[in-house]
Amino acid sequence: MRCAQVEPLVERYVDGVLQEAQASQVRAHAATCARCRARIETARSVAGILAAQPAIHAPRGFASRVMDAVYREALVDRRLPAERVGAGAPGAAPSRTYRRLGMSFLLTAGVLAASLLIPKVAYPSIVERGESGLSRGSVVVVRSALDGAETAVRGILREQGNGGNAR
Amino acid sequence: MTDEQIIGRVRGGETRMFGELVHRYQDPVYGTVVRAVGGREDAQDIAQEVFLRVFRGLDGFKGESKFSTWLYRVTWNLCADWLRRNRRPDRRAAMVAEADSLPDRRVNLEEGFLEEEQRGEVRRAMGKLDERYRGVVDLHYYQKLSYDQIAFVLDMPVKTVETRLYRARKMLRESLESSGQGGDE
Repeated sequence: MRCAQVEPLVERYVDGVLQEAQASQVRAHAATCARCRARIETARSVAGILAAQPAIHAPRGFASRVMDAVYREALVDRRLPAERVGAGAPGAAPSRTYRRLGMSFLLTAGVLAASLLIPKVAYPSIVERGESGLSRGSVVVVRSALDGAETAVRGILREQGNGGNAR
Repeated sequence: MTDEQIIGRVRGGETRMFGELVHRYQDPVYGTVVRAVGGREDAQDIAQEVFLRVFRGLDGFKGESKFSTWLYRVTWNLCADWLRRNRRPDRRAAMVAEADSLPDRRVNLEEGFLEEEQRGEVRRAMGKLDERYRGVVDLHYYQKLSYDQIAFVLDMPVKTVETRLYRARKMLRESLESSGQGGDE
């Protein structure tokens, strides 16, 4: 055997998967060829290094984050059967937790929307009254906007009170 | 409890049991993703998406392969999608080398400096491998999958798996030889 014939067989020789006749030819050649002996040695090193690579660990809290996402998905995905997260199953507690979270989110969004809308509606009316400050008319507009927002928030709260256990 | 038993309970409505599977496979999935995409930044998001897809697809899992093999298939498909969208090989190679350069407590100090140099060179060379080769190396050496399992995960003939694995090892050996880290002549 020559070097060019041995070279493509080096890794298989190291793994011991060559036919015995072929393996003994490689062995005989390597006994007289320093270059191929070195190749075999290097191939052994590569195999050893690959087999002993350190494990990479998932970051702390990764599994919890995944399960949070799983429960969120189970909550919003209507395709999933209700019993998958429903009462009686061990997954029931997280389901309730997330329902409450969803309602709190709705409530917060309502309040936020109201707080953003009020200045937008009221401010132009105030400015229109001129530099002398607030007129009686602008105060009425602001109060009216506030009343509207309050009614909207009360509506959301009432709706949630009827629909579940948010309050 | 086997994976299949856990899957049965999740299908039966015990969503909480899916957490067992996540705990069991979070390290190999995360490790595969880090090595494939070359960074921890995106790896968390991708690994999380792997588990979400598996959860969504659990009802469709027929048990034709082992659960772990199917999981690696989902993992590798997501990594391949990510790599197609974010092809920056130079950056990736550097990050893979960094990701793999964690201290290995199994390294015996007596094995010396030369072996550590060889490890470093193999890591660098791994980072430069084309993803076709990196995939088989990762699944075979890190996840300990058989050729048959790798063939299923990567959707290719077993013979191709074997050929790619040996080519990858040959490339790694050549890179050690050319860097002067090969065996003595």
